[in-house]
Amino acid sequence: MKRLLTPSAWRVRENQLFLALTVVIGIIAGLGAVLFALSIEAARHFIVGTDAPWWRVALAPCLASVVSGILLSRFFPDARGSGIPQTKVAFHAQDGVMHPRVALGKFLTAVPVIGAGHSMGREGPSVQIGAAAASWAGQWLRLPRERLRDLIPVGASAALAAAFNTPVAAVLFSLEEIIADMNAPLIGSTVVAAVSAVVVERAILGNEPLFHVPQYRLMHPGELLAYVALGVIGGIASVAFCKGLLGARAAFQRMPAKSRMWQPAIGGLMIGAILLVTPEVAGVGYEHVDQALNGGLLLRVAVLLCVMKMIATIVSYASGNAGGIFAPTLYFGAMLGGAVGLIARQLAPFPVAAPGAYALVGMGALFAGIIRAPMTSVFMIFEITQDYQILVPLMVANMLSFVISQRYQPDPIYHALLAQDGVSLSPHDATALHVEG
Amino acid sequence: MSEDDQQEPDQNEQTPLPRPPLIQREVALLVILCAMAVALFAGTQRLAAWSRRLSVENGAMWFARGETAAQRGDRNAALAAFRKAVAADRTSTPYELALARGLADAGHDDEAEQILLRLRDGEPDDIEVNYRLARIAARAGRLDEAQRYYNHALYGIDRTGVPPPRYVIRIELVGFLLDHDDLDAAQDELNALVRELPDTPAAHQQADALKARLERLRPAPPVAIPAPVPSTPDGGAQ
Repeated sequence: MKRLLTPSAWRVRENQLFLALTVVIGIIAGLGAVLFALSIEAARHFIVGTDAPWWRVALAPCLASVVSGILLSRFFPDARGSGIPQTKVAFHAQDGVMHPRVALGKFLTAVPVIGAGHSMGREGPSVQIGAAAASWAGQWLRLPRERLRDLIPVGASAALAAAFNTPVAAVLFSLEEIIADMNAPLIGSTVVAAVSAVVVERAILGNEPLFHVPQYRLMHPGELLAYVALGVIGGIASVAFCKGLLGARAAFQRMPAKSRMWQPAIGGLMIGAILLVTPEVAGVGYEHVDQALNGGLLLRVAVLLCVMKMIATIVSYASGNAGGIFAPTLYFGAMLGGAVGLIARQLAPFPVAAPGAYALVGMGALFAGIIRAPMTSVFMIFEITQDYQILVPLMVANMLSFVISQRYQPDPIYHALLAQDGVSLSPHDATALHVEG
Repeated sequence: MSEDDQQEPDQNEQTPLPRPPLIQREVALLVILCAMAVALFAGTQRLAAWSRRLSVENGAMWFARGETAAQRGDRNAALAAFRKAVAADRTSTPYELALARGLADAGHDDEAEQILLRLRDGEPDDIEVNYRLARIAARAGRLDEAQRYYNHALYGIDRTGVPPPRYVIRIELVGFLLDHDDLDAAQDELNALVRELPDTPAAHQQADALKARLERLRPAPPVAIPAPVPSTPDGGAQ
């Protein structure tokens, strides 16, 4: 008892404090991601409802974007877009300093927009919210700069783990995409935070998986050819999406500066028109991914949804709304993969797996091609399926898609988006950052 | 914090000393952060409960609409409604089973099979799940698989709803076996069918038809099918 009262016993070392802080940040970032996802569902319920008339479906994205555009222009300029590029900048260029306003702004601007039907994902914003919350906690505790910087990937991995329910992929994403160093010493902290986040996420939402995935079987060795085709098509689709997104964004940026506040609403009008034709591309759209994974789509429907989701995501993102491209990438990957699976089934002279298996591999291939995080994509799909058999086709398709995308779109999408904003982040050395203007 | 951390106390360890103020502050702030996390957890949990209630209500509404559409024969509307019911409430087995039934009836066997296989993971001996899987496997010409599912359906337990009576499953199994010229197995099942036929003319007609079909395909030992007899007041047959 006496020993407990001595100074050495009470002394809390910096590392111990950082570890405790990592756990707390993991919990807060995880809760933030869950709250964000639930708020989008609630917004969807209040804005569109379950059985909305056509005019409400068409007008909701525009009206939500008007509100969001005003908020983004007047109060939260850092909350536009995905949030992952901003998180990378905070880590590489700003010593981990993110204003707490960023988290609030992202929440307030992304929730109505995604809930109203804009084709955007919740993972990117969750990452930014998690990283901003972590940075705020570090600043509040007056941590030294290097420690503050370390908290960015910690918050990011926790938020992604809770948002996508894949802790291993979340840790890898932080290392591969945010830190851009797979050997980073921060792996321990990111793992602790990701695990804490997933624990609270499951405590609240239960153990129901994000997707119902089919059991995977490679039916015939010749089937690998179909996966090669999927990798090639996935690579081409990735390049098309990246170039389309960057081109459309450049077009919006060329508009007069005073129109910036209303650009999201212009995007909203276009999305309203798209939703009248294909309401399935609204919002995050995981229920349709689930349908593709279970082979529930016809070929023409899968192709149509893939193309329309790409167009809708380009419009939503390029017009300056707040939301990510992570979920849309998985969406059109699933549709494209499902379509390739259906074609393979019709044409292949040997038995092939169910289209749902191709949809899964397609998700990984498009993720590798667009986000350019091939290790994350392999582990993410593996974590979703928990099936070793899928690894070989997945790696084949991922690598092909990655190589083709890298060849024809040298700058990874997040780097290219930053470059459009005047921020240059070298893909070869992530620490060499140059901010223009 | 790091500067403070590096200042090792040179006083006697047995002498209680005031704690380093900065550490005290950090620990206090950490405790406040924990309290905030607890409050956030409670708030998020309430929102999740509300969201869950909403999902359950939406699921029930879409399921009812699907049932109505199915009753009036609008297969596409029923399927769309069942899909929305499943999307709204992903934990409801009856909704998934209704969707699988709708899909199978509409010829979307692939998707129906995926859903049924997933349900079977949770309820491996459920009668209806196995019965539906058997019909899909039978349509796909997968003899062994279909037979296995039919057997599971015959000797399973009802866990998900109102399953078809056992004799209906057996009649279908006999027909399937005859379609695939598995006459010995068909004979065995026909013999079993005779023992469990209900006293209804329709059931006996179906069994007679199967027997006649079997005899056409191969002369077999006669199977005595008792004629329907009126039940005695105490429930037993005379």
